[in-house]
Amino acid sequence: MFHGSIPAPLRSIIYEHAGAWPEGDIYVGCSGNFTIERVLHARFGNSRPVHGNDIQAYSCALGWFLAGDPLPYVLRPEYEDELGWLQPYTEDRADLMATLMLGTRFLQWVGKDGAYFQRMMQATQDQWPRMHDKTATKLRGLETRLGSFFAGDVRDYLDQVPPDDPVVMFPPFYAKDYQSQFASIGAAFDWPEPSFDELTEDGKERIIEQVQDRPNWVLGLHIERPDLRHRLAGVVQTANRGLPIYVYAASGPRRIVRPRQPVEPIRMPKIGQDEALGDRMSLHVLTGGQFAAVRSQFMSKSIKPGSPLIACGVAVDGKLIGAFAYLPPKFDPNTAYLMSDFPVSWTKYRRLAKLIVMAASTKEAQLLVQRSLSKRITGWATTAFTDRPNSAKYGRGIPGVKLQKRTEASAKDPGDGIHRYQLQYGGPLGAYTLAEALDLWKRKHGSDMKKEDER
Amino acid sequence: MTDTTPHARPIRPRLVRRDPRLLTPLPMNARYMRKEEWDRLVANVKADGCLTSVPLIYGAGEYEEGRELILSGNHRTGAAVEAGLDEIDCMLIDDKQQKDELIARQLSHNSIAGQDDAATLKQLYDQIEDVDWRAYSGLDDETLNLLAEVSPEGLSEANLDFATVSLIFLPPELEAAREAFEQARIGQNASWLAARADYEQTLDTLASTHAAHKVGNVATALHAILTIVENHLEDLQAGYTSPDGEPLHRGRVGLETVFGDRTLPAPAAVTINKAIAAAVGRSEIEQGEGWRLLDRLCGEYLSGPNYTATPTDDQP
Repeated sequence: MFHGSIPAPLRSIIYEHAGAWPEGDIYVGCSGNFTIERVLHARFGNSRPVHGNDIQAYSCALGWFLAGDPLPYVLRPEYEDELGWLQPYTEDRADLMATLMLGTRFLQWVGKDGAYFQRMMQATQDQWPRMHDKTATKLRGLETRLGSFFAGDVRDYLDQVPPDDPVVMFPPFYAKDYQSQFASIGAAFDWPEPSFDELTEDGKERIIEQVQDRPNWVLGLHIERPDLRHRLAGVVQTANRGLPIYVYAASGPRRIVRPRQPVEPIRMPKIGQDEALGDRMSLHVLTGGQFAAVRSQFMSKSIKPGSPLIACGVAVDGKLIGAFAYLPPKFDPNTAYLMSDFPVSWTKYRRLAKLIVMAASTKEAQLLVQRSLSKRITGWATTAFTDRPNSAKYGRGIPGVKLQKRTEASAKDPGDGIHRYQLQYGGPLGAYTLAEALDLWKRKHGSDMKKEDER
Repeated sequence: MTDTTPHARPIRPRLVRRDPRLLTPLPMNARYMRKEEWDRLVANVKADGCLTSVPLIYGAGEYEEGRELILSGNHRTGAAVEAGLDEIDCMLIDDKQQKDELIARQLSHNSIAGQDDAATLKQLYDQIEDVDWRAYSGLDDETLNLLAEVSPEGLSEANLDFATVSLIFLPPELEAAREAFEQARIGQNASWLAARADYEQTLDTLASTHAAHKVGNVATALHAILTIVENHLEDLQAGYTSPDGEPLHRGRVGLETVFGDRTLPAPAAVTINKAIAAAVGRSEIEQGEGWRLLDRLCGEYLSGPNYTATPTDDQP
């Protein structure tokens, strides 16, 4: 499984730019999963030779395979006991390539203790003939070909690329992640690993210089480069929490793609400005679009939206009073992460936010979270960013809630970059019902009203 | 009636400068902005150093000067605060307004917004060459379908085949249970129904198994639970045997609950098969009812030759 593929809008940008380049060979650096090569093939077929380059075990195998070169990958003797059953699937080029591709999924489990890993290994071995046949058949039918493949440092490669030929490259943003992705292939198979220098900041600078020095090029970078401002051909960011990719090019069209959350309305009425809370509290599972809409309306705009495991609207007597959303456990496997919780902002109640936290802590909420994960969840945890040492919302008056950790923003850990404190709160899940929560909240917090000028 | 315009007096708004931090936002506002739209607005205001369209505010003695109510432009005013502007231009209505008028004006600014001709919008947008000015427009190439359509060859390996099993816990509503069974039969994947009362116990059992095997995966934990059951098949006798050794029902049960194993040695199986075939041949039992021979032999072993065959549901 290849991580870090090039998102669809970037593929479109490359496709469009390549259409304007003069006839001849095209050179791709840091090929990865050969997405750029496949995009170029979609545009030109095999009429224009495309050359690739990489250093990783998986990418080199695929590069050599697509270029028609030998695949010198041999199972290491120390893996013979555990992986000897792969031998019949390493004789033919397509068979071996399929085995290496499937290896990106299962080799990571080899030698690991534990029921899960053993089970997955057993299932892989049981289903191997089907999976292998399907993958090898796909590889045999692949039409994309490479003019050549260079296994080695991209800087050496760029030195060899003819100066007038176009170059396209999206260098790895996180070199270490990229290298560790295919470590398991390198561990299990002996192969002629190319030598390369670590990709330092200076190394990246060198690559940028080498690419620019030609009439046609496209370069995707994770960082904005003010010195290349006049070459900025596009900015692609597909999610609010995703990082933008800056596309620089010698010339050609300019394109941008910005995140856009899909939103859907919640048909239920919201509690009015002067309305008193009724007596029956209920939870309503929201779609992703409904949650995005209600969050956009009532949550601080300083918080970047993420994707919840489960989101619920909280209603009293059929009127929406707020919403909350959970993520799966992060550290403690029995503690779900309360990703967001917020009330309808215009009510007369000053402490309505506490009622939403309480609704999110009830037995009914627990049932929904447990149903989503099919496992026992007994607590919740959350992080509050604030300029005060305690949170007004979580701080007091909610049964069982405790401040677990207080971190003051520093240069090393800036928190959200806006507030002074990062506060970790947590509490039990399922200690009371919705009815009990509403009753308790009314007794402890329900009479605290906003003043006219607060509303 | 042909003219639906309210019979209100004309208003005489005027431009004023205000500190955006002091103005009063609408307490209830149906209009909201997605995070990405808000960020764009703030960035645009920052870039401009001012608002390029003016909020509509209302005073008329009901709101103190400088703290007037923002009828329209709440997000723009907020963005001005976020962008650090000390002053913005506003259009002030100082004529006394009825509640209906205020709400109508508030809503009209958002609802009377016109439509874009998609083709012309694309043409105009596509004339913007600079990436930052494209972003400023609040539109993008993907939304306007201006990106090239590309379908590269797929390159992915096959994945493990798996089936989904849903455990559905129901209160004892018969109709719902029947429907769920029907759905389970139609669907490719399985749904297992269980009593709702068992839900908590299931989660606790799963939790114990997760902890014991140090495994987070639910399917693996369930697999471990099934293995334990497989190793204790004889315990299932409690489902059809009373504490004093009488049968609790006359339905059929699995042989593995008798023997504690799903298998038996092949020579023993051959002997049993021969004996059953002989008993069928002598018309002592019916074809396909081999269990009757075992029942008779075991009954005679316990009670002697006068043992009476066990009645079943099919043989009262």
